[in-house]
Amino acid sequence: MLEGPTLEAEYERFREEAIDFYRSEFRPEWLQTEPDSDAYRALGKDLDNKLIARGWYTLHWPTKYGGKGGDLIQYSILREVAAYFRAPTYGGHGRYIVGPALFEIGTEEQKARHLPRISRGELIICLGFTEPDAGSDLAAMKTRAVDEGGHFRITGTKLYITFGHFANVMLLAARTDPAAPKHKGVSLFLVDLSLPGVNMKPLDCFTGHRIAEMHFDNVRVPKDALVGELNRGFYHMTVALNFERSGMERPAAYLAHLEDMAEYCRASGLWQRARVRQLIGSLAAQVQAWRMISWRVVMLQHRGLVPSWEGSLAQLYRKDINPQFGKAHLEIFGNAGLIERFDPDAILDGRSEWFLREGFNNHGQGGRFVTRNVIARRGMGLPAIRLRDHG
Amino acid sequence: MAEQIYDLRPLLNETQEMLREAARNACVELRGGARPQKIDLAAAWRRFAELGWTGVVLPEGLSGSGGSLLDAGVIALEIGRGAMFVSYPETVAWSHALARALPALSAAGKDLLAEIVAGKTGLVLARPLDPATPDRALTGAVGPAAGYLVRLVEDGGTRLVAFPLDALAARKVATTRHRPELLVTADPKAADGITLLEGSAAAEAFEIAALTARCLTCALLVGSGRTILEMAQEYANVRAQFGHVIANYQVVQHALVDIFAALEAAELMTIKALDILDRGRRDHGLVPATIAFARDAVWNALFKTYDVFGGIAFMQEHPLGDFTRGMTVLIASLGTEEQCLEAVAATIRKGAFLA
Ligand SMILES: Cc1cc2nc3c(=O)[nH]c(=O)nc-3n(C[C@H](O)[C@H](O)[C@H](O)COP(=O)(O)OP(=O)(O)OC[C@H]3O[C@@H](n4cnc5c(N)ncnc54)[C@H](O)[C@@H]3O)c2cc1C
Repeated sequence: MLEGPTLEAEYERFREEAIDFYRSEFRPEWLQTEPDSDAYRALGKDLDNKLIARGWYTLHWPTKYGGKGGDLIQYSILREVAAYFRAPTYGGHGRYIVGPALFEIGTEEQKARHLPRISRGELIICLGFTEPDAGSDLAAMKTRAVDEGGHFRITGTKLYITFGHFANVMLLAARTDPAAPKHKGVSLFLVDLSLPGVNMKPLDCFTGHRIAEMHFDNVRVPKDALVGELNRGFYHMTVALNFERSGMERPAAYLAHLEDMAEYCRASGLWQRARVRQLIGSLAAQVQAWRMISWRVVMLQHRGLVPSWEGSLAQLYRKDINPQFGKAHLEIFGNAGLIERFDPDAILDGRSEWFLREGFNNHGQGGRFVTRNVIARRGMGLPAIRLRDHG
Repeated sequence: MAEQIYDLRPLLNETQEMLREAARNACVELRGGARPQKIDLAAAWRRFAELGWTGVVLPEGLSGSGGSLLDAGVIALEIGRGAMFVSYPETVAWSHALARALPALSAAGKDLLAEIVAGKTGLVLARPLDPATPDRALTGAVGPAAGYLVRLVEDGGTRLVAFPLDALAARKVATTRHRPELLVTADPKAADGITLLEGSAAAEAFEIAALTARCLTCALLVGSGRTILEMAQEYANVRAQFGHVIANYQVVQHALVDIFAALEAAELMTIKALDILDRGRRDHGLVPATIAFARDAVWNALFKTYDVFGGIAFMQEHPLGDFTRGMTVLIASLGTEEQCLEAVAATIRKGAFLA
């Protein structure tokens, strides 16, 4: 079982409580169902409802907005324990990212309107930043939001949107001042995805995950959809929205999977191979390192500091570990590691083969190269390389 | 024989260069620019037979082309480059091993060779699923209309037996969900097999086929590695971020160079290893070194290509996923990294270099 970082007694007690909860709720289907399938999402909804009933879904929010007044450490403990049990969740970026950002930059009216709905699992929010020509270079975004007096009119395309195929709201970044320099003149909007002019095209990923491409064709959004200050969207994205982007629960899920692999190998005799033990040992050491890097982000936030490159470092750990983690399944299980879920011969209900493919999923929130660039500049003060402009 | 290692000038003779050129053109035409999952592999296999590729290593007396393993390797490189993940390496490796044992080969075995030349049949090896249940294996003949799994059977004596895959298949498995061509095989004794060879000839043919298939698989993999490198390079030259095409960024260049550097060596090694096998030197250290190195090179080519592409390659509609599925199955068929490295280590002995 996963050991906690050194925590005060009160947190340790909470951790035990969380472990008891997930242990009693645990269902084997959590591990057997294809991630992101309808069946998986139904399991997630069921569990989310139980968390909502306990006030744990948005544990770290003030009670006024549907939270339980807990703190970020408690909440992170909960996330970690949930991830260790591979607990499903319906989805949406509301409780982790957009809700906390609204506390910082939302109006009182926006908080009162949106936060309780997020805390009840009713508002499913996706993030709409990336565009066909603006991936690593987000500031190149072209989606326009034109102020037409009573409303903004939004036109553009957002690409690779996680949860986009079933979310009801998008936190969308759009250019509001085309004359301003690239990093200025961008604003954020909470866009109701049922509005006329919004079109969604599902995109299936290599792992079977579904994401979406979203088109906005002259979509009229009310003025109060603007979140934060006009033309300060880029700043908000790098500060308020960086909240809880540590992905701090993931190492726990990876460690749980390593435990499963080790158990499988012990039972099947594969554990006798020194190479198998070393591979699993080496990955566990790296994931533990990643976990510490992620916890530091939480601790900084808990103290009211704004993490910057520290969050990118957590991303980098994930992305450097991920391909090795995938490959280890091939090296340990050989041909059997290729058999997909739903086949009786699939190892660990196909989770092994799935991780092999997941090893190539390394670009959400930016790829490894750009993440290194960010750490070089913001974390180490190294100079940016300037290429001369073409012609 | 050691001096043959130094014979890298020229690597391929003029005829082989011509063969390579012809193979490249034929494969480009067969693929027709399609993504790997959409290529009609059955039609491709029929064309391979027309071109004399299925019988390339069989003597003319058996209606083959009388070519070498190196010739087959040149073809396999181009088949891989054409993104066709077929059972060509295994089929050629078996025909090579059986042809070497021709005087001892059963009449049914000779008939099988004729079917291979005609492009009707492929012979494949078992890819063990689990050491505890050696009869169960992952396998499949991809391309030819019919396939046989060839394995050694110890029942009083040693026999090399070909089992028709149709009879042996327990079921298809979804390693490649869009093209479920691989099978989990059932207990082979239950099916009617065809005895090909008996006694020590059987054991030797098995050893030859297993090693040869892996070297030819390396050729196919290196060819497909070249293609994904080309795809990544082309994309890097058109995809612009931060005002420049990403090929301008040194880190992108370095990733592409790493792939290129490893594939260059892997290709040289593969060609040389097949040449060494042609000379009957199965004990040569370069052979397992090639398998270990090429395996690593193509795996790195895969994940570094994903690094270069960004999010687009992770979408199912992008062809890189098809390459990944096809290549991973072949990478696994080479054995685990541990097995490959152990095989290299076993050849490192004082003086082995001079032998
Ligand atoms: C599964 C998945 C889920 C996603 N979910 C969301 C989401 O919910 N919301 C959202 O807005 N976006 C989402 N994204 C988009 C993601 O943030 C982008 O894929 C990412 O930012 C990279 O952009 P890109 O794919 O366009 O790659 P590109 O920016 O085109 O990058 C291509 C290559 O160029 C390199 N590169 C670019 N610039 C430089 C440079 N200056 N120096 C060196 N190398 C450089 C990159 O590292 C990469 O190797 C998701 C992506 C994926 C794959």
